[in-house]
Amino acid sequence: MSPVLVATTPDDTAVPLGPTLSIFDPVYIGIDEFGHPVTVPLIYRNLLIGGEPGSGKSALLNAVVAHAALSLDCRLCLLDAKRVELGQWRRCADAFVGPSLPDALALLSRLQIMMDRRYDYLEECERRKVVPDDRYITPYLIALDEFAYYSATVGKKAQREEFSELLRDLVARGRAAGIIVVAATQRPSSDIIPTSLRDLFAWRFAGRCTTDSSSDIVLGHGKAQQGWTANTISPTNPGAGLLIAEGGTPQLVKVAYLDDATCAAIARYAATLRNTVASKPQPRVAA
Amino acid sequence: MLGGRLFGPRPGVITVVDPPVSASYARKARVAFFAVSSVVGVSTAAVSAVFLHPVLAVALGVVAGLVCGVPAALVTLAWPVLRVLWWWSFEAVIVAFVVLGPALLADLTHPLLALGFVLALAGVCALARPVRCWLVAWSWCLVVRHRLRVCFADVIRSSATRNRSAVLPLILWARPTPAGERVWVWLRPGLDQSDLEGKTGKVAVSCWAGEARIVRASPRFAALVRVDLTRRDPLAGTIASPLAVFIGHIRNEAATPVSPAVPPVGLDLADVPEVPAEQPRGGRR
Repeated sequence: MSPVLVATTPDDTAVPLGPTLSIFDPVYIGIDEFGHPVTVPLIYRNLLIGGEPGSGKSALLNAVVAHAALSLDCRLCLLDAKRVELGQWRRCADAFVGPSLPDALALLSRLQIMMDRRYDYLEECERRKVVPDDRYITPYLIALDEFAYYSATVGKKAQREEFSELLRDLVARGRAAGIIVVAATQRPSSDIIPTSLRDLFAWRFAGRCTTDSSSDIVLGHGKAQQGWTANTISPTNPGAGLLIAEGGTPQLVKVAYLDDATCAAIARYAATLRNTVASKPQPRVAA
Repeated sequence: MLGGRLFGPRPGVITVVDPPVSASYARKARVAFFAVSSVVGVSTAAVSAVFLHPVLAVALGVVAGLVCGVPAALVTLAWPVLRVLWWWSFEAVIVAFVVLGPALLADLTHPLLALGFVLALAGVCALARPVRCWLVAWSWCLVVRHRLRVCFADVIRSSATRNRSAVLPLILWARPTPAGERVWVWLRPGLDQSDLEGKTGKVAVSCWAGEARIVRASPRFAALVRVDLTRRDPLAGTIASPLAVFIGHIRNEAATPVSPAVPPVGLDLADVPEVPAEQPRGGRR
């Protein structure tokens, strides 16, 4: 049972607002090939999503962002070169960056500064990481669609390299500070994502790929030889893909799909809850 | 005699257990008899000697040894048959219930009433889709247990030259999944998961399934493995997110939302003016 957000009126009357989630809960991804639900804990983790166009990358990204938007203990930073894949969540997000590399660089720089300050704070508190119900540190989900646009398509070479370096730092060091990076791109080869950055993503999802090598680029070297290749997934079955999460062994999953109307409804609901929480008096979350 | 050797066993003789197997279990029965009777006999005699005359104690020990040793030997000798009966016990109970239940009902009430009840029950099972699916799914679980046993016997037989001591695994539990069946198996000494790797195709064929996966089911016990059999593809349809149910009551059912702020103008290529070709700059002619 999800916790219900309860607001307290000035005359001390509790008003239930609605159910909420937590970013510390496992995120529902879809079902596995045996029909069982697949959930993935995202806190302290990063997720790389790859696959050809129409393979279900954005569906997975939206499922993750929807969970994070309904988690009032998580803040959102969205970067979407197409603007429409994550645009519905704009009102739930602290920052939304469209097809602008300078804006993306400015946002990542601010996040890097925030991360350093968080580590200063954690060090002073003699702590090692963010924990549930943390009073001062809220986890951030950085959702990034069309990674290649920022890292290989627009801007000058120095800017693109700076973008990759900033993101690598956030992926490498942000885990304990509550920074979760979820990045989607079509083919995360070394010309799109530096290998040193790609290998930092612990969890991977490969939607349908056109070749075994493309699948290996997402899942890791040698997976195709072991029989795990996203090349065998039917092109008429978008949303199906191989997921590497807990256990380390790939599993065939089908991503849950949220249509536009449902996404918009969830986004409105989440934005309303977030505005309510931001206003005074501070609501409390009751189990 | 010669004809019997040429054309198989004598007419009227039914082989319940293969001769090598029966010989092996006869040897095991002898061992069981001597082991059980000697342990029980000596223990009984030793304890009885405290209360009785030594001769009486020895006699009592011999009797106790025989009383315990003979049943143990008989059970061991009949173990191949008992094991098969155990494997089919659930099916036997179901058949007994199906046959005896209507007969008992007809005996207690009117035969036509019993016939009507049986027909109604069969109709519900055949026509009600949830009941039918439930019955079919669990029936497959029963079938799969037997087919897996056949498959494991084949694996042991095929690796008999290098592994003569392997014993059939215990089929612990089977239950239906949306895609097929999931079976938990306890491997016994002589077999491990590596013996089953590369044989998932044969397992699928044996179980009349589309695909099989064999994974370790417990980080603690290497003997506990899980066999997942796939008959249907649950990934073919669209999977709805539970979040859609979570806030379903506030969903906007408008067909295609339109923006009140941005007019739908300039959305076709014809609405975009062509950029005039750049004129070459003046230079030397």
